[in-house]
This record gives sequence, C-alpha cells and structure tokens, in this order.
Amino acid sequence: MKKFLRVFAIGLFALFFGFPLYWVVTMAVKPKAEENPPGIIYWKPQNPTLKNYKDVLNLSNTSDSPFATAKSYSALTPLKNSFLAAGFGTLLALAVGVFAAYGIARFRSGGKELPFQILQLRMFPPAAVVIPLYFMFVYLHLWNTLQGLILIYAAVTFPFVVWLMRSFFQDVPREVAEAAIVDGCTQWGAFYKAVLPMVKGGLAATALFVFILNWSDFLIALVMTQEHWITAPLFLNSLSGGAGGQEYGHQAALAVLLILPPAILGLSIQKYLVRGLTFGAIKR
Amino acid sequence: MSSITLKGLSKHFGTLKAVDNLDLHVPHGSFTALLGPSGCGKTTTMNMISGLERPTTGEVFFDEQAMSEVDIGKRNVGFVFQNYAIFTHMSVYENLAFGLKSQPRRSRVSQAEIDSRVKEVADTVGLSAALDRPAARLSVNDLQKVALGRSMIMRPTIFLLDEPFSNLDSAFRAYMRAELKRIQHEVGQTMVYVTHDQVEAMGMADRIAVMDRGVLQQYGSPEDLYERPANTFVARFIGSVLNNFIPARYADGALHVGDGSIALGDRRAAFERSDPAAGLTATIRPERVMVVDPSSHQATLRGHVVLVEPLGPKDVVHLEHDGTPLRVLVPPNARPTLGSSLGLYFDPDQVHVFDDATGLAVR
Repeated sequence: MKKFLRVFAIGLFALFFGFPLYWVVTMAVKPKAEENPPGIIYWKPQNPTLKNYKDVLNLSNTSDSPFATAKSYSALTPLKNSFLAAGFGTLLALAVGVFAAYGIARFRSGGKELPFQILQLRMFPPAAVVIPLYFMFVYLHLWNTLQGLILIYAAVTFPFVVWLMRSFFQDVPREVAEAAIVDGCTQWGAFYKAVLPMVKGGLAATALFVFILNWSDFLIALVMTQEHWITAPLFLNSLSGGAGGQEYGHQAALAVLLILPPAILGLSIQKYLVRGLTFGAIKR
Repeated sequence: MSSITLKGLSKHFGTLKAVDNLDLHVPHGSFTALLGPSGCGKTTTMNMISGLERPTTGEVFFDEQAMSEVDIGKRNVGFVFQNYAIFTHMSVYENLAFGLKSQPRRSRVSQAEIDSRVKEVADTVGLSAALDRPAARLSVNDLQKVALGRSMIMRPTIFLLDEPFSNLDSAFRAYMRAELKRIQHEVGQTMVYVTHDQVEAMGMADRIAVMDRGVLQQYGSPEDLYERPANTFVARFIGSVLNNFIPARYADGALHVGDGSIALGDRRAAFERSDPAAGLTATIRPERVMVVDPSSHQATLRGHVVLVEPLGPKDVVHLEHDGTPLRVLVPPNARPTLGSSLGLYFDPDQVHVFDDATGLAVR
C-alpha cells in the first residue's frame, strides 16, 4: 500500500511536469487545423508535419511569410542573437566571477561584507532597475547592441557565479594550492593547474545554470533590444497570425528548438553535473 | 645538505601568539619531531620553515642562508601535508611528476628523466604497480604514499612532514613509521616531523622539540625528555602511562611527600637556593616505582589499590594515597587485589622535583 502510494505520487509529479513538455512537442508537429479547433482536443497529432519548423526557420519559402507581425521573417537571426548574448554573457560572468570567488574563498578578499554585497545584487528583481539601465544604455550607445546585452547578462548572473564557485572552492583543501606552490608553482599556476581542475564539476554546473538563466531571459531583452537584435524568446512572443491569433504550432516548434541547447549542453557535461548539482553540499 | 636554524621566530595572528620567540637548531641529517598538543604552534612553525607563512618577526636559516627573501618553490623543501593535498584529478604518475613539470621551462628536466625519477620514487614508497591509477580512487594508505613520494621527487634537502600518519589505521601507521625511518636513513636528509603523538615522536625522532602555546618547552633527545623533563608540562606530556605527580615540600635536607620522605643527597643545594616555603611537586615514572611490603620501613608511601588496568606485558595499578592518585607498573603475575594496601619505594635518583610557582624543574 505504501509502495503503491509512493508510485502514485511519483506518477502524479511526472505527469505534472511531463505533460506540458508533451503538449509542446506534439503541438510543434500538428498542422494548423489540429492546433486549437473549437470543441475538440487532439491529444495526439493526427497528421504530423514538420511545416511549423520549416516556417519558423523560414526554410519552406522566402517570400511568403505566414507571420504578419513578426519582426523578422526567420527565427535564425534571433536564435543567433540569443546564442551570442547568452553565451558571451555566461563566459564574461564566469571569467569575472570565478576569480572573485577564488579570492573570497581562499584569501578572504573583501572581508565579510563583500560576498554579501555581491549577493545583494540579486535581492531585487532585474526588472526593478531595467528602466534606469535603459536610459544609461541609450546614453552610452549600448542600447540595442550585442555588447550591451552581453554586459547586462554578465552583471545579472555574476552573483550566482561568485556564490556557487565560492562554495566549490571552499571544498578544496587550501593545502592543495599550498602543495603546488611548494612544488614550484606560482599562485596563478597553483590555481590553474591544481585547484581549478578539481572544481571542474562545479564549474560545469555553474556554467549551465548561468547559461539557462541568460538563455531564457525575456524581460531584459524586451527593454534593451529592438528589431535587429531581438532574442529568440522575444521572437517567440511575436509569433502571431494576421488576425491577431496566436500561432501555437509555430510557437511550439520554436520552443522545442529553444529547449535543445541547454538540454544538449546538460547531457554533454552530465558526468560533471552529478557532483556539481549538489552545489557544494557534499564535503569530501 | 641543509641544517635549519630558527632565530627569534614569532608568528602573531592578531593578539594570538601562535609561535613566540622560537630559537631552534635542527642539524643536517637529523630526524627532528615538533611535538605538542593541537594549537601549540607546531604547524605554524612548519609553515614558516616552508615559507607558506611569513614570520611576524625572526628569521629562518637553511645552513647560513636567510630564507625570508627566498621563494617557497626555490627553498627545495619536500612537504607532506596532514590531509595529503593530493591532486585528485590526476593519476598517481601525474601527481608524482607534478613538481618536476612545474619548474620554470629553462630548468625543467627531460621527459625521460621525469619517467625515471617517478619510477625511482614509486619504487621507494611502494607505488610502482599503481602509477596509472587515478588518485581519486586510491585508499587512504596509498594517498599517504603518494604524498610522501611527491615530497621526494624534487630531491629536497629538507623534508617537512605535518602529522602525516594521523589519518591512517594503527597497523599501517606502525608500518609507515618504520618505512619513513628507513627512507630517512636512505636519503640521509634533514627531516622535521610534526606530531601530537608522543609515542610516534619518541619512537622515530633523534631529537624532539616540545611546544606548548607557541613556546618551546624543551628540546633534546627522546631520552632527555623522558629522563630529564625541564618542566611539569614535559613531564606530563611525555610517557605513555601518565606520570605520578605528588605534592611535596622541602625541609631539613629531605623532600617530604605524604607521610614519607626522600633523601636528596647532593641535590640539596638546589633546594636550599629556592624558596623553601614554595610548593613543590615530585614526579616519578610509574615503572620506576618499586612495590614493597607496606609494613616495611623502606616504603616511602603507602597506597590502597583502586583500579587495575592490564596492558598485556604489564599491569597499571592505580592507587590512592591521601587523595593523591598514583600509578605503578607491575608484572601481571604480581597483580594485587582491589582495596589492598601496597608499600611504594621511590628511588631518589628517579624523582624529579618541580617548583609549583614556575613549573620548572628544581636542579
């Protein structure tokens, strides 16, 4: 009985999280007629088609776009923008945050206050400062540029990098770096050759986490970009038909495409993630 | 070829004096133990010798050369850390080769030389069969060997070992102690060994520096420390069976303990010099106490047996005399019954006396 209840509870949870995914994946291959017909629900696609994907990427034909209000006729440019902004934003956040975290963890740089002050950057939603930032960015000619988007993504996710990496660095005994220094390494060499490889699991988990945050951002890109530099989530939002109706099939197809990069990234670094995802909770 | 000399070495962390004005000379080729309870400053001392910590004041010399301006990597010391500090993302081979590969490019040795030196060290510490194994999969015992091997690869003239065996099980610890002594003999270099275990220090070292709260208490051979402790701390800390501490007073050329007295002979002069009214403490090792008939006039003290603790070769008999606990070692065939009374004879030559006010030996 107890076992039955447990299986039932797990099943319920799986359904709760799994069904929306199922709905998106199936919606993406439904023809227009099956998307949202009045009075009928198609639980599975009757005539599966790849047309939605072809339309979204604008592969079928170039002149006759089905989207009336889309700001770009193909998702390829927004996808590329998303990749560049989220990717470089993540790299920049890591480049700055990893060193900050090592300094805080090993040398207590910034004393007691600095780590907390960095965390404070996350104590309000980015939306709270996005309007002032908009004016600043316009003034600095960073508005509606890739560089601007990269900068703001890095700034928003930098506190996560510092706090996650700090706990991973704290798990590495300080003697590891000291041993490398006794062996003739410089402080930098000890960090690069001895300490950093020991936290690569944590680094991979942090990178993935930050990338997903940047990749799925909607609000910042909504305020900070226009036309040429919009990101994929904005493009997804703009997909609607001529009469103002939602293009559910096309949106679903793009959603599936958007799921892929984090999923592929996650699978490819899976072996580092197991320890990394405990976020430093397990001490060696 | 290196001796180590510490001159007026101090390390203060804020108001805490981790090491205070330490003078020590470790001769070349000796095996010296830094012994003391945790927090006594022995690891800090070690870190200052290696260069990981900078002294607040004072100087470290290797032979005649002052070390304060010499980089850690150039001091040519081998360091074994208490938690081994193994690079778990590397194989055993890579761990051993790490030091050689971390040298500046112009002074780096060839790959063939690295191979042969790694092999040589692996043979010495008994890791030849495990060279390709990832370090993360090693047992604690093998990690210990890797740490030892890694400290040897640069052929240092000074080895510093910080409680290297404290995480090992006792059987392997005994084996590694013997191994380390053999290796020290083989390489013939200076070794400084930090430990809180006096049995380990007594068994391995030629010389022991006993430290407490950052201050050097006594420095000498294991025999010196055991037979001639300089103060009550050393008398208490050294010895596997706790020493006997008996309140005493000096009067009329003899030492009075309980209702007995100990003739002092030539040592009277030292007592005459000190304040006769000051409290004294007499110590005598449990194995040096002779058990005699309680009615014998030879008995210095009489005590009744409260506990017998068999150790195997000997029994520790716990007695009480006038509220003072006493310990005596007896052969198992002479085990007394609980509550019985024993006469104890203290050979005056085996009795050490300490001044309660200073804790120092009265000599």
